[in-house]
Amino acid sequence: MSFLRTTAILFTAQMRRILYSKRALLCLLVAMVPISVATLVRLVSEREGPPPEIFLLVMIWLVLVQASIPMIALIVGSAAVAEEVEDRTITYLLTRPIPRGAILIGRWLAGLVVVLCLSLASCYLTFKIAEDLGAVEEKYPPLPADILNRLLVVAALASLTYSAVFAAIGTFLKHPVIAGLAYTSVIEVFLANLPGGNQAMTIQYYLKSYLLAETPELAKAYQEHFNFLDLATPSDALSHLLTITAVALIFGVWRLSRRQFLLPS
Amino acid sequence: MALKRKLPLLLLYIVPAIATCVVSFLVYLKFAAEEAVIPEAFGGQMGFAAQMIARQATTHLEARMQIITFHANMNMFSLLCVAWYGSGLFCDDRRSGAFQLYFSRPLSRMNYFLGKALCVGFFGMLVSFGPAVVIFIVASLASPEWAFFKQEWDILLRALAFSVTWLALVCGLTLFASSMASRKSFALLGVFCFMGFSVAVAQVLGPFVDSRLYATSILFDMQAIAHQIFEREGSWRMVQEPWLAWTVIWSFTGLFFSGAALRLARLRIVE
Amino acid sequence: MSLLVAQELGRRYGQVAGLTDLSVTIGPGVTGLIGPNGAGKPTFLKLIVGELRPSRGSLSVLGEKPFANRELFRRIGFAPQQDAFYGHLNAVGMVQLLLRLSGYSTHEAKQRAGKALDRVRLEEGRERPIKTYSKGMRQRVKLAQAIAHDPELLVLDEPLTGLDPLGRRDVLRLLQELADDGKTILVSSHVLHEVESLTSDILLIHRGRLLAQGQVRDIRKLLSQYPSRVAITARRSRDLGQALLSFDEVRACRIDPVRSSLELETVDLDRFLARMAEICAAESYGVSLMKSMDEGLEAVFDYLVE
Repeated sequence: MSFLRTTAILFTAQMRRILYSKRALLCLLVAMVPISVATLVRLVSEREGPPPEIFLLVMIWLVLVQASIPMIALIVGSAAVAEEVEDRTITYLLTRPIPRGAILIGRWLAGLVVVLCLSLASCYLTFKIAEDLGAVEEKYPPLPADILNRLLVVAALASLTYSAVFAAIGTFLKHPVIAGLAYTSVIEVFLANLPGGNQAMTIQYYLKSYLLAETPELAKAYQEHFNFLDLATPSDALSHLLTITAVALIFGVWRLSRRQFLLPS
Repeated sequence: MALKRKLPLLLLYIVPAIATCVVSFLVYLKFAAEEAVIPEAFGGQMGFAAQMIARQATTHLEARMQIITFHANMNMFSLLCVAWYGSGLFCDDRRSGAFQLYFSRPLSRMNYFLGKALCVGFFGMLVSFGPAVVIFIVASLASPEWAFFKQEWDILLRALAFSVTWLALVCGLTLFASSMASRKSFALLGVFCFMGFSVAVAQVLGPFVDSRLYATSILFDMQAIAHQIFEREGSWRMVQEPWLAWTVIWSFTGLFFSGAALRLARLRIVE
Repeated sequence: MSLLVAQELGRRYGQVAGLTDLSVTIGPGVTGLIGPNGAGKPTFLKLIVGELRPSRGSLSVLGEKPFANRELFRRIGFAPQQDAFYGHLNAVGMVQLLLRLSGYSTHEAKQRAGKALDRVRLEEGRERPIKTYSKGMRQRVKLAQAIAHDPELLVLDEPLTGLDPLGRRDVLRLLQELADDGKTILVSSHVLHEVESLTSDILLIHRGRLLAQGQVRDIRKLLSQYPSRVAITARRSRDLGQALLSFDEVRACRIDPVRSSLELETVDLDRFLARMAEICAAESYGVSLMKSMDEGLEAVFDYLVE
């Protein structure tokens, strides 16, 4: 069986599985958080509301990109291999004439589709609800016309990279959710907010760079709100994110092809 | 059963244990230096480094504040412990069918629920309240004529009140997540999602809608409660009204415990 | 022709030895893999189907090394012991998915899935999700996915677990049919009398080591240090017992006058039987029943494990 064909079969099977699973419901709830908060703010805010740059930044950066998308990616991405191992159904896949790596790639792709749909929809709706909230003060220049596109690209890159990393973690560890939680809640929060070279070890740094480096309006608002800013160029950020994704998947495929699974009876 | 697995036990408790030892030693050193008693640990003579530490401890260290600060900082560790040990309590039993064994005994669902809750509360108390007790005892024994005990006896009760409030919430949240989830990892995810999102949402609603909405964050609420319980005048906090913090905390606690109990009450033995 | 060859095969789990120095060859036909709990049967089966790598020694299945050997998996069918399924799929869906992963087209996979489920006699409930199935139905699904792609070698880990007596009979019949079709079948089971009904070729494993391999009767003959036990029911059991005790080959005799029966141990069964016939012909003891109590697999198993 060819790699592509196996990937396609597993992709289809996993898509059907995710859509009817509790994971999808949990992801939907998480994706609704930024939309709900934005809606609430819109309903209760007064006319002299905050400049949209800061609000958009805090909403989309803090709530969506830093919190919501990594969680969705963790819920779905970590299940790429770990769910089969936990359910002990990986035995059936391992005793089929298929390349082992296709198990990871096929199931990861299905998860990626779900993560992308939810994160892009969440980003778009949150932006639309919040974009004209409040008055624009003179000290803040108007937002660039393509800001929504840029935000959507950041959301897509975050979905891609996080889901690949967590899928790869799932091939190494028995409890990838715990490792993923530790990474997003502790390591990234800690390292991404320390000045210096530590930031380069986080995905957040490159996402932030891609978003802010060519959007001075948002960069200014970020610096006011979060104090310091240290950015890579957008092209560097993009290449780093894609490299992280590729390396994670390559390691995951390599590990899966060599791993032995000791399943309890 | 939880104590048999050494690695999680080590990872979760090693930092609080070390920190407790260090702070206890510093508190002891402070009192010993104040009394100009050379600690036996130094073999009757204090070297330069030990003298420096003792001088710093005497000047800057206040045993009461140490207990308060240490206590507040153990919040996250007690959350980790409770979440780790508690997240699988209900869902693992359901998944493995073990609850069928439990309920084939003369055991009511309330007893089962309380047993699980107390178990997970115990692990949380070890980290949340245990260090406070140790430091208090060391300070009491090291202070001349039990002066610390006589003057600051209330700090232990305050620490207990704070721990109970915090652990009630965290245990309720963890048990609720465990009762809703099908796997331990989902339950863990639910606990941390709730904590993380409550902070993120508060940081949006607080500055942009109403500063009282900082109370949507559990951590900010506990900050306000700590301020009130320990009478920490001048300390920085996001939630200014303690009554709001108390209301939110106990509302969530009631909600979580009710939700978990309801799930348990409706659990079918044979599926 | 040996289809499976293991040479000094070993597998460790940290400090625990799952298998130690296992050297065995398995040929065509049905072979029963027997051993107490913790003997190493699942470990051996997982090594055969390529889920685990040996810690030492070598293993060749159908002439190839099995670990992660994709081409070999077309020729092997494996039914694991664990109760693990894609619960959201129905029986047809699960077997069809696994057939598609074996290289069949959607249409052919569906047809084969139907035939395999017919063969394991899963008629009702095929369209319901597997999570609603009884244990017996799930066991049949497991078997169906193992045979659906028509493998040369079938490896079945406790295939009779969870089946009612009719189900067991059906599965045993199916396995016999498959064996008659030329399949090589390796069956692991605790149900000794059912393995015996299926095959006389057995592999006895205990504590990760091979205890015995071959036909049950031949293995029994090797156990000459263990006396054969014979049960006799006779009207004059006490007199018969006294007469038999004079035989050199009779080591012990227990008489139950209430039941008119006696149980004796003999070190030479064939000689005893010949002499027994002589004395019964000479005098009427009223013998109504005589049987050997340990020609069976269970007795052999007990002796070897002890």
